[in-house]
Amino acid sequence: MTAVPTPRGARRTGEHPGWYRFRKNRPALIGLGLVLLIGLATLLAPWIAPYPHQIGPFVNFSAANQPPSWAHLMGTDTAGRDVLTRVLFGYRTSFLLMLVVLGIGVPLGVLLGLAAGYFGGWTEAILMRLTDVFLALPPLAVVLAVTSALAPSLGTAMLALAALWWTWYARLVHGLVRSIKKEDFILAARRSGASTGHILFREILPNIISTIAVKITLDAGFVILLGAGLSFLGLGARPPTPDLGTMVADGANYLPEMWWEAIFPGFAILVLILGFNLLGDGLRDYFDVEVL
Amino acid sequence: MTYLSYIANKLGLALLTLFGLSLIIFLISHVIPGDPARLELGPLATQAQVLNLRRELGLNLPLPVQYGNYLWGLLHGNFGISLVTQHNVWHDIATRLPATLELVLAATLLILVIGVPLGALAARYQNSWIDGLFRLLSIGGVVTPSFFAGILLQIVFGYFLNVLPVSGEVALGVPYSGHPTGMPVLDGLLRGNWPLFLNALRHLILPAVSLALADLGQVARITRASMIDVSRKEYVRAQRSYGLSDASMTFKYMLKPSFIPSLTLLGLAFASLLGNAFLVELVFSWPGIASYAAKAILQKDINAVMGVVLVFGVFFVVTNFLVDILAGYVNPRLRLGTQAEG
Repeated sequence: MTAVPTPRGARRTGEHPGWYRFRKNRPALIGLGLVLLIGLATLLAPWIAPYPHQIGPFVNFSAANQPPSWAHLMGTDTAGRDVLTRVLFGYRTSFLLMLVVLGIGVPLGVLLGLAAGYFGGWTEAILMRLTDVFLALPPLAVVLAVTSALAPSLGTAMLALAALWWTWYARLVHGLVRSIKKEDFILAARRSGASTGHILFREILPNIISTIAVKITLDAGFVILLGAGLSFLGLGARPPTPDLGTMVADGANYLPEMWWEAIFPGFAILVLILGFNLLGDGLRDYFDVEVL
Repeated sequence: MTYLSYIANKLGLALLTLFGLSLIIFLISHVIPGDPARLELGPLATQAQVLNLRRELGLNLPLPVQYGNYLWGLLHGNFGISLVTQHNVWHDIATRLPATLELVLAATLLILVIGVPLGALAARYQNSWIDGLFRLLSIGGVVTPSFFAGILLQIVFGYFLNVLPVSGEVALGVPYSGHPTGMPVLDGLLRGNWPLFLNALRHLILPAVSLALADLGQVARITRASMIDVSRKEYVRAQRSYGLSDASMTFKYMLKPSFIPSLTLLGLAFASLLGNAFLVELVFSWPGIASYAAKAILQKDINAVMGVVLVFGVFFVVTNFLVDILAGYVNPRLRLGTQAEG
């Protein structure tokens, strides 16, 4: 313990003051719990799923369409696969999509936003007009266009979404940089001969990173929602890859008798998005930032 | 900046966006898929046939010229021929658009008529059980995928309670000619055809609610937050001390300034409404543009898909333009804001 420096004021309670403040926001705590729980279950899916061999091209018609029971907590689907197992592995597809889309979109948007906000002039005019045009495109329509021109697959969907997602971050960061670049400490850094790179990444970025983090958290749920919608349309992951949106779409064909095949995957999506939303709202209150 | 130059500025941006949109669609449809002529004729066609068609379609011209021709065609309602239906794509879309519009308009109406007052109510009874219930409902609306909301509503109201129809726009037994607007609810109303109106309305309820839920929650939350902001303003306290009634305060003096964020959000929401309409239409077998596009995608009917994408984009741009104009009218400060935004 002695090696770890504790922030001032926290020693008396043995608790980080920031954590204490966050802890008091119960919805945010529930959100964090949900995200951690689902994230962990997703990571451990191969070990905790009851029938890990049934995720893909597995068929067992003698066990098809069984309602929820102790052997199959969420029942089985038309091919006789365990729904719970596929939900757990379906979460992997959701997380993968979210990580790839934000992993490409966020750095790209942040870089462009930094450049537009800091340099101003023509750089700003061109970049922000470009951003406006991209923001004016309905996401689903663009994904439709791209997937139909290429071929519907998880990769195409991720690429198309990432190609759109940077715009939100470019706009957000642009606004933040504009309001911060006239501050004295930026001026001081420039006067003392700091390089542009240093100012952008060591002076400005650390000051806006919390806002970006809040936006990412709120977006995570939204990307997952959109991804689920795409695979519901058949434009996302291809069968037999387990995917929550695809499972809902398949299950919807057997309503209302075999309700469990659509309802459980649907609630699985809902709960994960709920987790990210509650957590994002909590972080927004915690950092007291405004995010569009 | 005068209101007029504000409008001119927004109009310029809208036109620029439309230009960008057409360029992107052109590039995707003319460059990515390789050779459209080969695609259309299939693998068995001879090289000469392909070359002939290329000349006919103008594909041997330089790209900028092709783009010019494409744009010229669009301005004349020429979206190309659908490979599947063999009709002009614009004709195909125009026959299906009213159904989608009816759904989107109904959802927008629900958002305005329910979302805004609900937010105002929650703000008025801040931190009471009404507020708590409101939070639960609004977050529920935001996090439920629209297609899943549709399925849940189908199960509860369609199968379990059996009170509302779960598919289609009008029941088969009800005669409907599709005139004059192509929206059966509106047509029933306009022509005084009550059986049609009631039947179509019953069909519209579940899809419209599933479509509206997400943005309804969002708009209600924003309205609540900005109502609370406004209620702390000095002028509100001053008016209250003059003895103005609660209702007059809430609806006359607080709702208008709180309405602007909701209005802007509604413009943004339009994109998600159109996008989600796709999903909801499939859930409820709605005879709109989604079923057309879904089929077109499966059959690689690129002209049809691009036509749908273009129509979506134009709707989105036009709505955002109108929202900007309206917001600038309600809140004159925004007109200054655009210059600073630059």
